Amino acid sequence: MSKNIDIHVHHVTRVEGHGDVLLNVKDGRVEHVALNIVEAPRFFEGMLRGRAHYEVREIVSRICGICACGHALASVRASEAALGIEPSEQVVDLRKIVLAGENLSSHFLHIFFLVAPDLFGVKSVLPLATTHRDIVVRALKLKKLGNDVSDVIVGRHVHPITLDIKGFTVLPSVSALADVQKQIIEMIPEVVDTVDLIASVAGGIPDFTRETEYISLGPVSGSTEYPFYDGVIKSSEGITYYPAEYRKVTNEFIIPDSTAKHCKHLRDSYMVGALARFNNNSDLLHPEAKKAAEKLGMIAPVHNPYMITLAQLIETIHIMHDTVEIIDKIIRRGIKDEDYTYQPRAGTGSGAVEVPRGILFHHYTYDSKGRIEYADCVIPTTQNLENIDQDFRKLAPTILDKSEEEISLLLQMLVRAYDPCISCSTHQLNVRFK
Amino acid sequence: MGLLVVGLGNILLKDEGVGVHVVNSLRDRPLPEDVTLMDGATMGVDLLNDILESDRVIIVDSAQMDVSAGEYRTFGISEIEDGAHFPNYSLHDLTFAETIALGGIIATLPPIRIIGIQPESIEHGNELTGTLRKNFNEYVDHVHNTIMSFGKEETD
Repeated sequence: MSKNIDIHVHHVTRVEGHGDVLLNVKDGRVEHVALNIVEAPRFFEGMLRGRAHYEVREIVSRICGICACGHALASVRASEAALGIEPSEQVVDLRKIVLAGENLSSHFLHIFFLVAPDLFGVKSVLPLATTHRDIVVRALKLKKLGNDVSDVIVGRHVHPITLDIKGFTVLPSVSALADVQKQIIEMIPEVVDTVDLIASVAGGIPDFTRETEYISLGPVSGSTEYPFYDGVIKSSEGITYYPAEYRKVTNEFIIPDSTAKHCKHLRDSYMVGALARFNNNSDLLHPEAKKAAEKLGMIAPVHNPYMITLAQLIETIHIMHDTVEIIDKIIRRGIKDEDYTYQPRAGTGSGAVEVPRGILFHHYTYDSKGRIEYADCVIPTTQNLENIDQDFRKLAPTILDKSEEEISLLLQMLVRAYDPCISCSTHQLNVRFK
Repeated sequence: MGLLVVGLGNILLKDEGVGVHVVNSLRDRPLPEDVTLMDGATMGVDLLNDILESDRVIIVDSAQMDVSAGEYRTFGISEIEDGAHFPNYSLHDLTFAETIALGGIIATLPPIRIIGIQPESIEHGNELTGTLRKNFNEYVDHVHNTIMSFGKEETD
């Protein structure tokens, strides 16, 4: 085959970042295929140096407008590990709800606004609203629910206000929690309907398989919780690490043509995110989420990255049921005033939490006055980039017989499946063929 | 329900944040009980639920309108939809326009007034430029007058 292809997909500039998809084929042979991250480095770790312990979580929440709560949580966990602070059970439970809200909101945004148009064969959510109005109305309600869940605990869902080291500056009332619990319960049937709906169009998900390593939190010894907030680092290759050992997993390295680092562990690359969590921990899902997995034909391990969206949908059911149970527990116990004061000290610590796109690491060293000497943050999208490139290298040679438009769409759908932090722009792509 | 007044923009990009600054200044003025002031920041689709739940909406935003820096215009969404300047009317890429378009498809939008202010600079910086600072009270007065009169006359 003597086909020549030159695809360069430019991502439109938006807050969440800039990435380009490149494919060059000469005489029927793939010369280069990659997702290039062209966003300027933002130097957050440098900005943190010299900052006081009480400022850190507020600064790092600005790393992301979608995962602001996740960054704040990874931050307070790293600070607590460094400063020798153990948060109370009440604080941990409330934090789990904050994280649940953010994961719900982000998953719903991705499922309905970014991926559903592909599944229904339209270009964006606007034509989808015309042909499937009910889906879009449901999407807006569900996304709002996720936001409301976070709002009730931390004041707002973007850049949380009350979330702090050791505790909260303001605690939510039991009645506010009960209200949000009622909303969640009311919305569960809508998500179950969505599972049926997505199952009906899942045949349109591209058939592509590449085995890789899956990294996520794993349950701490003796726990039966599907871990988002608490856990060890778990590899599908059968190894676990403590969060403090995250660098043994991430092994960041630099590649040409990209301003973002790449990561690998035991294989050429690894995947983080909903599908990695599902593959590593699906036995710990809530029974209702397991039912959804069955309807969607998802049996771990799933090696098709296009199925990440289905794993996210399964997780939303788990998160909603789990959050209802956590709120039950808090209501039974009542909200107690607790002492959230602490003394800074010198120390080093790491925090790991599961945010929508995968496992997130923060790591800090404090001096004796509680000022940051060193900071390191490794975000999920960074960890997925090498995996996306490896997927591209396996996928591209197998689809060269398709039209340039189809090839471009399949590559873009793959990037979208990972829900990378450039996702806000993914349905506004301009495709330019040379 | 009631009248929602949203200031849109990024306050870290000089004049881009003028809408937020104007709406925040209104917090010092006496307003009718049914008025809700909102810092909309750079929100997109998250605004839609609030917009659809309101009876009337005023949006204050920096807007690229090809007029002199510091000038302001009041217009309705029909002008955005039909106008030749769309989609370059807002500095928020397509987010706000798409949100409004989406709202129009899935529901009946309440009457919406947009007050656009032409920026001088949208570079990094957390203060307005001199031109906009000089006219700032005029913007606040104008939005205040719009709040007081909106709904009392024929709306689009």
